[in-house]
Amino acid sequence: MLEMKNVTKRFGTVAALDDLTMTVPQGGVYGLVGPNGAGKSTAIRHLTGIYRPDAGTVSLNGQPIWENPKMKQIIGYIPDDVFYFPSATMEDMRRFYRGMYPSFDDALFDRLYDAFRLPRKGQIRRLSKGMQKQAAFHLTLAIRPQVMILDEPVDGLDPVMRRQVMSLVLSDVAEHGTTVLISSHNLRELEDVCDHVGIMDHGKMLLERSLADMQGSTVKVQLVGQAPAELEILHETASGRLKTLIVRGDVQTVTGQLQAAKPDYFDVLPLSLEEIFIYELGGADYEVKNIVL
Amino acid sequence: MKSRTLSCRKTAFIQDLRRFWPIGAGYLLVWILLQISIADDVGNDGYWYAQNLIGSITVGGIFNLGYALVVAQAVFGDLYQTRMCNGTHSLPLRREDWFLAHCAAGLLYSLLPTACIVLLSEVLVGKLCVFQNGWQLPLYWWVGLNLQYLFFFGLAVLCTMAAGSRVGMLALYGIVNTVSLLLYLLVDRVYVPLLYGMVVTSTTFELLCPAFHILSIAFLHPTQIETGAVYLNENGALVQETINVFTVEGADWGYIGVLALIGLVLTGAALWLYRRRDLERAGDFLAFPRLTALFQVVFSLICATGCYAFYSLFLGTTKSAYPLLALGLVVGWFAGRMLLERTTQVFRKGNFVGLVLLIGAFALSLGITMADPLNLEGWLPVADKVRSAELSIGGVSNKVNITENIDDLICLHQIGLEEHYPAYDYTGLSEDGTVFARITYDMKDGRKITREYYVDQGGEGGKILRRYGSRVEAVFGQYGITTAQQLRDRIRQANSIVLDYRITSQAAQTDAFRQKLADAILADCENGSTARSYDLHTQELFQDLPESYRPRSLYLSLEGEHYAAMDVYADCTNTLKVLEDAGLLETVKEYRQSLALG
Repeated sequence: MLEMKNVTKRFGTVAALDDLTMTVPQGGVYGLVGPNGAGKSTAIRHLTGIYRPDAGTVSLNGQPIWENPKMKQIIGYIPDDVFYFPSATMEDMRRFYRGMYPSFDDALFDRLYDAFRLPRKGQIRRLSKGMQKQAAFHLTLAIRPQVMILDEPVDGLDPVMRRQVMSLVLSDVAEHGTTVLISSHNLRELEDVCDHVGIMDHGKMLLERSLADMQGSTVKVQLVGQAPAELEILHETASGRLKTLIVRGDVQTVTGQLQAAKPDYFDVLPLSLEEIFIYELGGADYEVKNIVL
Repeated sequence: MKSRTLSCRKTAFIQDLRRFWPIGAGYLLVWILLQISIADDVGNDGYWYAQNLIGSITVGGIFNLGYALVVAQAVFGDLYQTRMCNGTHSLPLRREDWFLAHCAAGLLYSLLPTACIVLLSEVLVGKLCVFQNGWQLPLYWWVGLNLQYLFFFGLAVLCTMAAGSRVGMLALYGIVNTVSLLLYLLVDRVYVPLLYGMVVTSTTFELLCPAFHILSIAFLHPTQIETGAVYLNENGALVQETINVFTVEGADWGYIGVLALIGLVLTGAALWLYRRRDLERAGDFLAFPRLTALFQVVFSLICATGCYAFYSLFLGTTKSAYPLLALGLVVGWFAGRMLLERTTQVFRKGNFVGLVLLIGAFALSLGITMADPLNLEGWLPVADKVRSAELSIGGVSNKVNITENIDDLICLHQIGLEEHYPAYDYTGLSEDGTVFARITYDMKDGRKITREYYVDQGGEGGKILRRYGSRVEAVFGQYGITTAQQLRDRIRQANSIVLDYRITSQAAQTDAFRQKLADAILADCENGSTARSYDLHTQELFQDLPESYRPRSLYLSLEGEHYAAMDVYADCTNTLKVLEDAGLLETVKEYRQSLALG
């Protein structure tokens, strides 16, 4: 289990992380979302042992990560801005990673050439941004990490390669029980792969739970006619006769209540991750707590 | 786990070698060219080759000053780029492991190229050097050079850890390498002129500045000696032969040994800083916010001293340049802030408060110096506490350790204070009728205290200066003559006695003349009229010559295997009389007249 407990990190007068607590369950795929400047990358840099927290603890399987090679060697990290030694080729990086990671799998590394089709000899820095990202996946998958931490992993990849990459990651999760943390702004893609979601803002964790719980506790209702009085409406908008309501409750309960009221038309839809994200951040003019409780 | 750590360190170490080998290759190339140049210069002279090889350690000090900076920036440079810094520190290696790997690579970048040069030098030594143990020379060279490197590399690594960017590291490295000389400049140019007669010597400051001091010391003194070797040949006969052996004497290994130790301590301090460094500081000028105030103050003082020294160097005044100190502080304060914040938008209220405090503190320190609460200016030693004293007049020193003589110098010191002629000025100008004198006391408690004054040449001070400046050891000490008998012997043994570089006569070469001359010179020494300082002699010789051809002194030289010379002034009446009697004076006069007539 990957865990941050009450972590605070200040950059000068700015609190990048403010008493942040998050838990990534073992074997799960955790989506970390938040607006720009929420502190996602800072949190990830703590989880990869780069930054030292001013306060709080960051641990993997109960052991601290900072300055702990034993833990760091089972973590594969792809930063938002990948790095390579200036003149390094894929084979140079293979040698380097082989020396750094005891679990480095040379056979897998060779097989991954078929998936990514990267040049063995050319300098990586001369490749396009997308290909450099592919190279990062190539290397990270080859170390057979138990935990994969991906910061904007598919940023710069074409749609086909995005699917290819996510497929490789998910097959790793399925086969080896790898724990994955993905930070991304592409909520649509996260929704397809994540089973847990954490929403951050201003260095704090606003909401953290399984996607199923999150989507099950609040629904979106489209309705023509009078809404039943027993509905706990959190937000309401109207476009002509069509009303859109954000309602507390699971799909079955809300559907039952609407059927009993017999409006002209109704439809009950689960909230998308994007909608949850928007409402969580106050974009729908009401508090997050009202949605999820 | 231990072997894993070793494997990771090895990987990081090899990566450093792979990435930065051209730096080491460049360094090697420079030394190869230098060695070839040395071998080419000396021809077949093995002794000179040895001298030059060892002498190149001094040049190596300057090389190492820059090379250590380049190497440290290369191997630790990832700390300055956010992407690389984050990337490398997410890898499974502790900071001390990174540090050890980088340091090992950094040291190898000196050890390996210089070892290659040792091999090359051994070939040249075998070819050129006539000394049986000449093979040791390249090894001495290797050890000396790498001890120096150890110091500079340690310092560079410490600066690397304290700085957040390459420019910051460069600035810190430059400052710490020169801080003691800058401090000396500040004290010598700004504070000392406020205290009449005060002098600070640069010796201690230089010692604390290895980059400078290395240039001024000789690490090794190779000397050529001959040793008799005795052995039995194959017939059982005793054979004796002379062989050339190379010995190394007078080496200042202690200094470079201490430097190397300091280098190790600095490296340890760098590791301490590295463990405390926040990686998010990558790209900042300094990696530790607590250092920013210190840097800004030091940078401001450097700028202030620089402005002041520059002005006083070219325009030759000191007091009028004091307002420049404030200007330098202002410039330095805001320039330092701009470097720290990487913006020109630094003219904020908070920064002005700091500047006002700094200027206030600086002005206060100048005020306290002028008030002289410790009475440094008026200090006079007690003769009992002085082990010896040295009087320097016109570049000639005269050391005394008898209480009576020390009392005389203390008296001169007191006269200097009382007369209070304008203090020593960098232009070298003094008031007419004054003579410059420097007194250095070697105190029994180990301190060395120096004072400089101008004293009235016609007053009591002038008399003391004449008396001490005219002593045989003061006039002839530089030629190894310290007693009257030695002077007599030298005059007697001289091949010829020459006046004004070319005038001599048969009469001047007789024993009788030499006897008279020795008596006359000694009498003038006794009378206090032979002091070497020009300022102590105002009269001119040959009054009937045109004014511009009248000399203040004639140059009397004792030619021969052991040379000696003195200036004969118009008040050296006894000596002039002997020269006149021998006809030498007339000849000189005629020669000068011919010059005057064209």
